Amino acid sequence: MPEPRQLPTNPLPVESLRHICDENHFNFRTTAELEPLEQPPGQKRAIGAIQFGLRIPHEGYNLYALGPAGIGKLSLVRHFTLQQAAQEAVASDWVYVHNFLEPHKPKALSLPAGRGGQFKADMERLVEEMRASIPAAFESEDYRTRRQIIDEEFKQKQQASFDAIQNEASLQGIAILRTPMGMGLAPVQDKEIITPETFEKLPEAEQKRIQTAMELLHGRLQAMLQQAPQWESERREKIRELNREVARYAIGHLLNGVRQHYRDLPGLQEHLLLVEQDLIENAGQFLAAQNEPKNPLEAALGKMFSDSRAFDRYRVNLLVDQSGRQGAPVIEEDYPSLQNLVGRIEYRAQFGNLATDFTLIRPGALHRANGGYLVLEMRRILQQSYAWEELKRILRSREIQIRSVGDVLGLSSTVTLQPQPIPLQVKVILMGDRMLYYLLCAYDPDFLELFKVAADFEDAFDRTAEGELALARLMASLVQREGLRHLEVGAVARVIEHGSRLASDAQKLSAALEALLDLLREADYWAAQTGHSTITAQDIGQAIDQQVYRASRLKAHLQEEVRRGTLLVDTTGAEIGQINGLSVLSLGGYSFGHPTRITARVRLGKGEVVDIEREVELGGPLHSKGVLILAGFLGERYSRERPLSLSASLVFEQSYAGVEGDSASMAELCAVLSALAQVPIHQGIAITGSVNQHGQAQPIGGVNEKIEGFFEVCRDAGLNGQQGVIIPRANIKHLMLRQEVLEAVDAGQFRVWAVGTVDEAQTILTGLEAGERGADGRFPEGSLNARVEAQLAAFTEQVRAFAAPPTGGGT
Amino acid sequence: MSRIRRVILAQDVASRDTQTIATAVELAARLGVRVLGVFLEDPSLLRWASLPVARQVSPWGSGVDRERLAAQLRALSIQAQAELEVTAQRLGVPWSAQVLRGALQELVEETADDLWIIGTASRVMGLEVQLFSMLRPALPRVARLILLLPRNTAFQRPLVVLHGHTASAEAVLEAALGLMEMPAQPLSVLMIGNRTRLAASVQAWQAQRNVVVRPIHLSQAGIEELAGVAALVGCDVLVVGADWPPLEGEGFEARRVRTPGELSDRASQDMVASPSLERLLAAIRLPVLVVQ
Repeated sequence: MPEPRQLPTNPLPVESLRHICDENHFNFRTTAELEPLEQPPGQKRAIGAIQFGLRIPHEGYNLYALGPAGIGKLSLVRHFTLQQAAQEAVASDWVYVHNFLEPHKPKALSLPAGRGGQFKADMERLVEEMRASIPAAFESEDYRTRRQIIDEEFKQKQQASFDAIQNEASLQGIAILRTPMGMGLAPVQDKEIITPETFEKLPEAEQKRIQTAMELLHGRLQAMLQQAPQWESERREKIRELNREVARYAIGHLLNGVRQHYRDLPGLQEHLLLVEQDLIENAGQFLAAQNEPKNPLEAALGKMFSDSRAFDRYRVNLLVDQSGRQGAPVIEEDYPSLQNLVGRIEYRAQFGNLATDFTLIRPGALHRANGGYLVLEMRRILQQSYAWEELKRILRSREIQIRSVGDVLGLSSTVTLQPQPIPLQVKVILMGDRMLYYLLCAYDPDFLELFKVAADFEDAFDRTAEGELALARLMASLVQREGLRHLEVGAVARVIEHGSRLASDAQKLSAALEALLDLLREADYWAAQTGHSTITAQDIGQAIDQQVYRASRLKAHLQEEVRRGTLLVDTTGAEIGQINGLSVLSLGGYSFGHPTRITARVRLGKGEVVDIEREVELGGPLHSKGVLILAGFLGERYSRERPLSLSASLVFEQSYAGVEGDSASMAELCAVLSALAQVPIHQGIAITGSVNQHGQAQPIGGVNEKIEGFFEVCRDAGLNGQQGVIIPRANIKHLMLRQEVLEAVDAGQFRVWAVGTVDEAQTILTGLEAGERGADGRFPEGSLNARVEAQLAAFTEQVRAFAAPPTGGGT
Repeated sequence: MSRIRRVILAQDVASRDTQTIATAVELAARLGVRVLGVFLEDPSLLRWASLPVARQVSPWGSGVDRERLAAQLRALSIQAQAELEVTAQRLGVPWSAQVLRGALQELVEETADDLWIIGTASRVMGLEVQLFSMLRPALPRVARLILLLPRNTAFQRPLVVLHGHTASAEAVLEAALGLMEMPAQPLSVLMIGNRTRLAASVQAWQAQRNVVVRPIHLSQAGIEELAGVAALVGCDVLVVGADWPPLEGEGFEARRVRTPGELSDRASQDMVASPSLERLLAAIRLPVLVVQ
């Protein structure tokens, strides 16, 4: 087994490991000198989409702002929406009033902003005034007299008719008596009812005359009685007409006063006309309230009804009040349940029953936002039953119809209100992540029809001089808005570097506004603790360190187990078929890297590389893909013309959870090649990167965390100048390593190599030249690849030997 | 005026309504006396039912049957008694009821200090017409104080009407005082005709009873003028003597000449009520207390 030779001396220079922000490039001392930046930098595309979506008037051009949480979507959307709304006309007030023709269908009326409240107050006052004026009119002497005249006319008509019959009866010697069941006719003689005996003694002619007269009178009486209901009907109609006239007189001037205020609103005029007609027809209710029953219970119940409910139908339910508002409404609904979106109809308990009327209609966010803008969180809508479906239905129909979950499901069987739908003119802005957006696009056929504008927020923006200055100005505006200390220029530089680290890219800056704001708040706290009047670079550093410290309990625990030898990770020496891979753990918003020992064993086989992680279902598909690529590489490079008679097994040692991603595929290939070539790998070097079938190194994510994770293990074990990490060359631009690593590299205690191929990595790991195939088609003697190829050829020969028929013997 | 001993509610088939029952009980409660309900089952009605030509106008048919009529009268009296009981119990007024079937002579001696109440409005099959009540002509023979009560009226503030022929002004004034809900309030007294004599009588009574009187003098007054005064002073019950001219024909003359006799026999002689009294009741629409 060859010993590893001296390591190649081409590690990355320290300047490549972190894109330092030079504060000397800035011409300010603190952010107080900077002009605040209201819009976050790097969101030009999203801003353009928002402005377009807000201004385009056509149907379906609602917005979906997509991007990760904390990117500042809401702030930006709010800023531009308020700006746009301020230039637009104030939306209308909306009221619900009683529908006198169809009481279960309350009518919706629109009024100019601020006049809804006035209308409501006017109608309240009208009812109160009518409660005094109508009884006064009906108690007036004039009314009583006129009513008495009608009654007297009626009585006189009856009496005259009756008197005529009675006079006729008197002339005929017949009296009209009151009997228990009606009226009786009796012949009289000498002012006395004739007795049966006397009647019998009367001449037959006289008896006949009396009988005839009585039959005649009987007929006339019956005719009069049949006429009586008609007289009574006429009397009632006259009284009704009188009541109408008096009520019209009593309410006329009051209603005219209200009408004057709303001459310009035909809808209200029409409603007031119906109010007048109803008042005239039902003026009696204002009188009934005056006469309190003697029974206390009856009186109490009557009062409860009359005081609270009797006049409700003349009142106004002010659903949306835009008074005092400047511009169109902008509503953010934090809890977009179905009822909070479309409104609801409340009920009141009334003697054990639930009752409702138009005064119990409550507005939803759509009502309040009508004529303006409604901002909603998409995930929250989807968490609410039927909210999304109803929202789409309303946007399609362009009118707000209040429906409960029961209505949607068709469970309501009782008679309830059907408020008149309100025409809707609103721009809905949804906020959500990208995954939701793409899922909705894919699975909801209505979505793209209703939300035509996508405002796609960038995660990061270019770290140019302008980008750095824009971020500095953004810091200025944030500290100003939040009332924090201003940042010194050094602190600004530190934040910019941290921005690149958050973006995982030295040439980018993170657009995560919330994370930036958190950092500034925490730095302000530490500045206060140390008595700084401005936030210094030290405060920023402390804030970052504290964030890491608070979140790194698990990382510290893993490192401790490595120190204690529980987790087996070598940082010195050399081993065949064993390599330090690097993985990233993301837990609770914090990511850190950690080395994992990967081992490979080879033997005679059928050209398969066994991924033990996959076999036990701990490996994800991407990891399996990476492993399968290895077989392709091995076959293509070393066994193009002969069978690959290899069986290799790969395992992540001491890994008990799932493994996903292909960032360890280069490490796995190196381990297999080491095992084939029987060349030891230097254990002080860890490697990350994926590999393709040509053996080219491909970039991976989390490169900074991985390097730092291995560095910390080495640091704890003792840095010896032989340790370092191999990364794909394409990852150099992502390097934003922390200061401690930089210092170690600068001191020659730690190194970072960037490679373009697995051969380069093998050379660093083993100290052996990988070797390139020469003109003769052979790898240089003693090179790593020659060793590998020889081993694979030996495997093939062994297979052939096994497969050959036995020599000699036979029958 | 001697103290009213009881209120007697007089009812018969033609003079019977819930409002009169309520008014009688309320008045008894105010006066602190018991109420007696008297229901007259008129024997002449039963005789009429035996006539072969007897016909009636009724929703239940025109035929008349004596037995059925008797049963109906009994049912009416029971119903009237039940209504009186309910009303009296609600106000806590002691009550009793009696059904009279013609022989009423014994009641005459006992009713000297009783206030009789009789409803004057009648309603039959939806008609508000004046139908003859057997009690109307009978009451003057047995009662000293008679309250003629139209429908839907109350009484708390009396207006005393005195005239030149009033025999006993003091009795009329006493009866009015008994009706006053608040005796400390002035008692309105309308004096028609000879002012000097009437004024002297009233002043003497006023001094004796220590009552404030609001005197009103008119040289003469017809029914319309009387109604006007009643409305002007805001009174709700008229108190008159039995010798008041509009009552002529109502039967009070008989009492004055003290002609005893069978009540029902006498009653059947006048089949139509006094026209002038009916005109007065229609005009003023107030109860009238007649004092004999």
